[in-house]
Amino acid sequence: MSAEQIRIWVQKISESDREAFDNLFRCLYPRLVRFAFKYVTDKASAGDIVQNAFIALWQKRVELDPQKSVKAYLYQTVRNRSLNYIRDHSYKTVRLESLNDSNLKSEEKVAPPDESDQLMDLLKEWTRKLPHRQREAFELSRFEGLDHDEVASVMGVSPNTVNNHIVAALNYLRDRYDRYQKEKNEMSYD
Amino acid sequence: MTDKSRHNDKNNTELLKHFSTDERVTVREIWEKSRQIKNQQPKISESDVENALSLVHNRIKKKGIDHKTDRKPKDTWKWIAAAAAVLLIAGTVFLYIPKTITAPRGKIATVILPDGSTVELNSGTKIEYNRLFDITNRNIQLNGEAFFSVKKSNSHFIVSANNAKVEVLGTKFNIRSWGSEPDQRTEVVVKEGAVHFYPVTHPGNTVIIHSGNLSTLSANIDKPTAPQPVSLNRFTGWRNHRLVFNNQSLQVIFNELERRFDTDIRMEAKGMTHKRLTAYYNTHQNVKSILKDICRLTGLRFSRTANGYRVFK
Repeated sequence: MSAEQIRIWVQKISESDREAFDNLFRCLYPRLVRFAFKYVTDKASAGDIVQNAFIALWQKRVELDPQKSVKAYLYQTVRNRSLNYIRDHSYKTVRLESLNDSNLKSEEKVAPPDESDQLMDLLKEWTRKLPHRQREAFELSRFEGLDHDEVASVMGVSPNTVNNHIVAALNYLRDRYDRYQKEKNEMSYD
Repeated sequence: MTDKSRHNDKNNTELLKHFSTDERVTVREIWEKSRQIKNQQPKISESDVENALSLVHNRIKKKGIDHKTDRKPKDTWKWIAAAAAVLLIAGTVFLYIPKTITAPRGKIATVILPDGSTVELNSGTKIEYNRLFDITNRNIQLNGEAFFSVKKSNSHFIVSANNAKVEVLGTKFNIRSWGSEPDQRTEVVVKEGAVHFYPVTHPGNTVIIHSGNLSTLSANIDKPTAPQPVSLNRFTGWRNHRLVFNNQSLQVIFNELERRFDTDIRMEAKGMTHKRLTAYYNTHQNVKSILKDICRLTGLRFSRTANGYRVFK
């Protein structure tokens, strides 16, 4: 969905248009649930959190400004509620600091021998090892497709800080990648 | 979309500044690759989404944060306003001066009426109502195309357009009625509820249109057509900036394009003005590509002019 379409929907939602609200929901619900799922551990809770976020959106629909990013608002709400959920359910296993990665590995398909897919899998693995603020900034930007201002408002920091986090993440990834390349080259000299 | 991509380019160049030239190759590759990593877990089906949406609606209803606002305080204000109107004799004249709202060409406007009903106006559409609206009446004059979401109330909401009237208590419907069209026809399509549709000259010849149906009234005909079921999207597509032409003459199509794109189209192939076309454009188009399509279908040609375009044989 284009940013323009989303802006139109937000304008209509601020005028209490239910249909526009439904359309926005259908457009953003799946990715927001997958995003919440990264923090909380089950699909049902992730679904609840996102549904609550949309209800809150409807509650304050009159104040909505189509010029502001509703995506950033929703990501921010979902993230905050997810963090609260983790805090309140801390006895459950928490995903945030990339703990039990073997869980995640079993969900993924078997890595094909293809060179570029291998790189993608490695990238995925490496990003999980990033310090969690850097990982968050990087993933919000690359995986969720938010721009730096949106990432900044979701994380509650300045765009400059977002920039720094992403640069640090890229440095780490670049370093890992270079080492990986070196090892590969060394191995081929057998 | 161009805003977003410009934004992203700015972000990207800002990031690359922090890396040396040899590092940049690797960084770029990582940057591109990481964008392709799509998170597919957990799987969310369409029915998951629809179920979640129903849950949301139910909870909104339960919380009572829907439109059922408490009428009581508003009623008090209505009485005060009505009393003031009666007292101010000079003011009474003012109260009858109609309020006019016109949607600019090239844009769609949404208006909230004093009673809380909303009206979406297609480009170039004009509505008019007097200042006693919602106090003693809910009458509106329309010239153009509009989608009404009327709030339910005991007062009859009446739209007058060309020689037709549409009367409801509370419902959602689309009405298309341009004075400039050759037969000044009025088309009414109902989305929710039911409407009474009748000619000004013969109010007894009313038809009741239920949701999902269309009825048409032309000038000099004293009864609207029997309601027929239609695909709603065809008639309300304009609300989402879609362009929809249901077997319309070229004259009507060009008029609509002129309003929608705020341009001027001179039709010089006089013999073809009544040629009819049906076309749907779901996504944003520019007027040039639409004219190209039309010319391809009709064997006409077009070229640019100072104010817009001309279409000729």
